[in-house]
Amino acid sequence: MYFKHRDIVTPGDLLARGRFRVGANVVKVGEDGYYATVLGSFEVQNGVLSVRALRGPYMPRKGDRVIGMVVDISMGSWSVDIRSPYEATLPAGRFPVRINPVLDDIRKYLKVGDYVYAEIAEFDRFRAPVLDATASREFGPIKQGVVVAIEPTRVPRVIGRNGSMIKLLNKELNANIVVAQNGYVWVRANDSTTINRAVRIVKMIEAEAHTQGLTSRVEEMLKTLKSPSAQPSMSGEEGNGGGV
Amino acid sequence: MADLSTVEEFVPIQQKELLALLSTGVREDGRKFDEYRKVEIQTSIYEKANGSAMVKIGNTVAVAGVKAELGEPFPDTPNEGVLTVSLELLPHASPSFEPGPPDENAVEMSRIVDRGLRESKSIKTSELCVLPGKKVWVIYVDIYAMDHDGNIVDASGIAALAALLTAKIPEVKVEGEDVVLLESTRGIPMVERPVPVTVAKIGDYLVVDPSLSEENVADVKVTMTTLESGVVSSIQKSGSGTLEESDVLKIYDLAYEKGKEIRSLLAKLG
Amino acid sequence: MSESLVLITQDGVRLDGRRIDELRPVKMQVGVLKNCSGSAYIEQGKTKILVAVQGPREAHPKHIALPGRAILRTRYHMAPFSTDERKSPAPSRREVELSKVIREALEPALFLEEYPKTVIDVFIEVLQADAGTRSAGITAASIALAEAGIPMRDLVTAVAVGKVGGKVVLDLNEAEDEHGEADMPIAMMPSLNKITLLQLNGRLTRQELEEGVNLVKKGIKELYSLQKQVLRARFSGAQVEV
Repeated sequence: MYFKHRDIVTPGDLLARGRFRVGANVVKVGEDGYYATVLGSFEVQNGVLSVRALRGPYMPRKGDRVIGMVVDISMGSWSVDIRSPYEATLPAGRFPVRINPVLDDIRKYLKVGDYVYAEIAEFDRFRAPVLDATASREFGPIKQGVVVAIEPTRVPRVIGRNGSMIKLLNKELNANIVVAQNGYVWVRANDSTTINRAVRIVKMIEAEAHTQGLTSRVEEMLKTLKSPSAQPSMSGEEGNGGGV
Repeated sequence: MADLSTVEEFVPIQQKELLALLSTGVREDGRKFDEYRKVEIQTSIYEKANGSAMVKIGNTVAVAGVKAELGEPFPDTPNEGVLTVSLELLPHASPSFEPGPPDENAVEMSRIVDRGLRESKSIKTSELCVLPGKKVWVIYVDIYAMDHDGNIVDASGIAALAALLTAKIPEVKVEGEDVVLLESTRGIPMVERPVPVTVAKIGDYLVVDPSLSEENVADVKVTMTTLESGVVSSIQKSGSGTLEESDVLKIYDLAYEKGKEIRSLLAKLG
Repeated sequence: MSESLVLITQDGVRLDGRRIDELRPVKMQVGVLKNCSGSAYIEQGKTKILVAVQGPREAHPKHIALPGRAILRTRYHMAPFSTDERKSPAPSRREVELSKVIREALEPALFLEEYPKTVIDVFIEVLQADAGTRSAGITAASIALAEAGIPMRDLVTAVAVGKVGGKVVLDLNEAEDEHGEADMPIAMMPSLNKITLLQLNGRLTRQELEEGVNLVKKGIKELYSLQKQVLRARFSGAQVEV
């Protein structure tokens, strides 16, 4: 092993020689050489070598919940930009409301520039991703709150193990934050101050995703925000909350 | 994110077959790895050109014409003649060549041939000066690829060289500021005979003078232009494959050897 | 070679004070632009280059898309103010050729099969040219691609060697390129020890060719470690200059 767990590695770094299993962003060359293919943090777990990338394009996967922006409309479907190398399609038949595209103008339901929350129903090497917004009540057009973009590679950190981080944020901030796999975060709350706070914390988690002690720093920050001196002001400013 | 454990090097079927053949030491057309196809050189075929040549390497055909005109020198070389080399891929040569502005392959090939002649300083441009600072000989070398069966670069470079070696330009008489062209002619003063040799790498094998089908499966080609003395004056690696460090000198040695053979063919010209 | 210009002294000291195996001062930054997938900026001596990577993104028009992999497109371009005499913004034949050889220098390093039917665009803009632009462009492009998270076999690192005053030297500056006897830019994937760009103009003997290849490895090794340094610093979050 030439690197240890959590070391920062770059493409072409020889990670180890020997017999290991290959995980994400690692390639085996020759008999026993394992190389990193991206810039990221090296992870060794149970004999599996992988690299958690710092950044990278979002690759759609069936079942992923994503948020996208409508960029084009045809008679029976919307073209949706899900921030991936492939543009997705949301057919009218997969919209939460029954639509007859022949009789109805589907622009009534979603127009260019609108955001929509859906899951990836189909994606393979031959077809563009197909979205489906019928499987959950959460799915459909996004009409309130804000949508912010984060690096798709940071999504797991913002969600936390078993959703622990996002549950913590929602509880402490009294907000409704939804993190889509493709790096869009949808924030709803009762007032704009809370929304702003939520966005700032999410951005902080994104920026510090790779560091140690992040959870406790987030908890600290949340405590500070709840203190009386940090009550919402008219302008939505942070007051003397921690340096976000 | 991405699991690259199953990514294999994508080897097209054609390449697999060719590699299998090469592993037995033989090329598709039966040649050895260091063997050129038959090279034919004809010169002085177009009377209206100062010099001309047609070169056939196997079925690849390139034609070069030299035109010499009096013109102005470049400002930073006021007492030297000018050399302009251009190579065009005619639509005659291949269904994949379209008329119109040159694509990146055509531009690259043209510049490779130009550099081969220019960097070797093979033409004594100082002897092409007629009125210092005002009038010099401008030598235009225009090369046309007429039939493409691989290795247009070598055919073109050899054609250009042959055309230059056999070109005749009028002698001049200078009377004050006037230049009079005389009936008598002289050759273009050349001090080197640079020969481009292209080697293709297919898998781990280096083959000289790639045919069209070899070019299509080769990962990478290298053209090296060498002089009689063994000096190399231009190198270009082309294609998205890679080379081993050791390939560089191996290719040089092939280029030098083959360059000598082709130079001896040129020596037989009138 | 100019009589009045001594490019290199008997003791091997060059016009700018460097020794024959010394690189010019290099500065690299990554993640300098907001609206692209990856970006980098490099200064090598007086050469200054900015690189942006866009993609992988859908190939348009659709018919250019390849079913099994991404297409890499590269544009090497010199800004009109980058040279002594204004250079016309229209692409010259030289820029067309360099765009091609640079693309071919980067392509072997990328796992293009990961993104079928897409296009990855690399834009290399030379803001100030003082020789070595294609090499510095490649070095910067490769860290921009790494920053974008596009999987690579290795980084690609490039620098030119040349012959100046009869001696084989590393990393020519403009004066040396103009008045010297040879210029040979080389790019490699250093960990894999493979050459991805090899060009020469000028005259070298077989021995000088060999010397040049050995010397370039030294320069490449130094630049490679700088590339890795700047990428690691980027990971740590800071907008660090290396």
